[in-house]
Amino acid sequence: MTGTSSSARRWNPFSRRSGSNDGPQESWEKTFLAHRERIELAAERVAKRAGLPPQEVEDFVAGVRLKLIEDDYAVLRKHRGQSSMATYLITVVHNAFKDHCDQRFGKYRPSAKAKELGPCGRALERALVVDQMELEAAVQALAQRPDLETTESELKRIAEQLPPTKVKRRFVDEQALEQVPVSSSGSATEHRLLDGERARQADQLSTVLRSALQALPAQDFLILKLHLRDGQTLATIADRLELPQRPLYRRKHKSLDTLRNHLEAKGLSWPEVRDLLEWNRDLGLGFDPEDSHPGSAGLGAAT
Amino acid sequence: MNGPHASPPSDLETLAAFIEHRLPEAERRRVEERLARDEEFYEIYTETLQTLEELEAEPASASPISIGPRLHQRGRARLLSLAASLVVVSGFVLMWAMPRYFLGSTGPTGVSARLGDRADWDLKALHPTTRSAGDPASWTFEWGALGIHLGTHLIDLQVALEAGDWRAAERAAAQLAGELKGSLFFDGGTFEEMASSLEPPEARGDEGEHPGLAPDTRDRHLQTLAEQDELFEQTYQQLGLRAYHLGKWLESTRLMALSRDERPLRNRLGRLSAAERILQKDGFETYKLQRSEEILDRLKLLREADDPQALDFKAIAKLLEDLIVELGRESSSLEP
Repeated sequence: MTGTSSSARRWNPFSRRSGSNDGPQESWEKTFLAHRERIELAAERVAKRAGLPPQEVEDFVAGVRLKLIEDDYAVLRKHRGQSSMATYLITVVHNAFKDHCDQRFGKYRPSAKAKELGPCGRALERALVVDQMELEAAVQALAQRPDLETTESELKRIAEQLPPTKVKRRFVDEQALEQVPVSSSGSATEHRLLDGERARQADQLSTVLRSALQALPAQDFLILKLHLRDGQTLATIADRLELPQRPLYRRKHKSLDTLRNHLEAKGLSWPEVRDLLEWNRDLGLGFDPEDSHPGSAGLGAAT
Repeated sequence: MNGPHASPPSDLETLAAFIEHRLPEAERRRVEERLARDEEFYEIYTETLQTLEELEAEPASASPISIGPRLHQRGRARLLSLAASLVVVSGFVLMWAMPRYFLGSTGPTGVSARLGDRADWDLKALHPTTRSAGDPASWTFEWGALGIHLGTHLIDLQVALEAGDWRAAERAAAQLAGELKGSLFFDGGTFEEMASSLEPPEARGDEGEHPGLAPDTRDRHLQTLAEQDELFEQTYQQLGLRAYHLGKWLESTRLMALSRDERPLRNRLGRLSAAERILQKDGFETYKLQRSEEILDRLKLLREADDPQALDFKAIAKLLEDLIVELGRESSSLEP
């Protein structure tokens, strides 16, 4: 060990300025090789988490590898030392994944619920929304994929939980509407009409809620997003945003009160909002009607 | 709501620095502003956090060197060559990272002896007979404490072996053997055998050539250690507990603090929330959790220092030590 310790001081995997005795090309190559396994593992996980099929996962990992190498390791060379190279490269992987999704799926983004449901939820929603497959066909196709380790009944259960607005509505002409059997009570038709009305109200609520959220101070908005949409605890958020934890509870309640007042000023009463949110739990914002975290009042308690 | 794409590497690096708590206040506020309004940027942020947590939870990353299932997945054939090269590299890194006061002028043996002293735990072995097999809650809890002990001692043994410090290695191996004595799941005999095979250079008669451990002995023991590590990880995974992994994580972080290894230490401290979640999910007792969270809160305060010189390495190491002791305590010793 003593005989090799001098080379140890030359090569430091924690620093991009490692290998100063090598030529620049060799130095970046060493940096790349030092991080390669971790980066590939990260790329694989990101793609699998999104429910991509195995071949596409492999393609994405290969694409990331290429991205890091191309133009004489340009991505690595752009690292200024502000962060660690390891974390920087993970953000690069995610940015590459975003580009990959843009190319493959256009502007489609998975709903909060699909994300919560995991790779199967995301793969199913994508099949229904992007590929516009019929539910039965999508379920059958995905159940055949060994990597998803799921069954048709499980996928059908998942489908019931996906937000209806994410699934593209199919329009039929009036003639087809006439063919729809009417039950003696007429309840099926009423349900359809009610759903149509709710969808319109949900769109309205979504717009109002977005504008109310945008009016909040940026940090408060961010706290709500992390807490209500991504389910992070306030203790975790305090840690991540470097904030004292205790005042966060009060800030959250204050933000929710502001939102409630804003909604009421626009003529939306809380029972209406709750009804809409329960009908459609993913109004593009992913907020649940009841904040289930212990000790919190949530929007519901504000009424 | 979608803002401009976050593709410029400078933006990504700023985001990475934000995650690692390395930005000055004004710049942090700017990043928060963008995270609130720019959905694409926000998505990269939350997904990056998730990936970092997952990678952190990978057995390989808890340890200063990569040993464990990840290597196992890639095949045992590669294990030997990878382990050997990683041992050399991590040995280099440790040597490089040691500050002068640690290195002194005594060479590797002196370093390891000092490190060995610092890793001399007085954790009382959790003998299986002290576990209450009939009570699942208590059972889970005791497995948690045992995991912390095993993880801590395993890292100490690894570091001692890498540094060629036979005394520290012998002590850590004996502690592991003690923890596992009579266990139905693990073979404590492996470590007992290891402890008894470690002997001073004068007994081997080659002190001039290898003042510490002979390289072949060291490599053999490191290989055994990698196999045992894999076994512990798999067993704890089957139990649905991550205490063993947490024990390794805490002890290797403590050693980073002791060796004043600023960059990786900051990285680790940036992920204290992941440790917190493991604690909550692993079913540690409430009293123990309360104490542990207090310690974690104090650690969070200590990591705030922007200036490397101001980072209180000693206090951080002490708090991590307190946390290990707290989590490794037997349930019967807990205050009501």
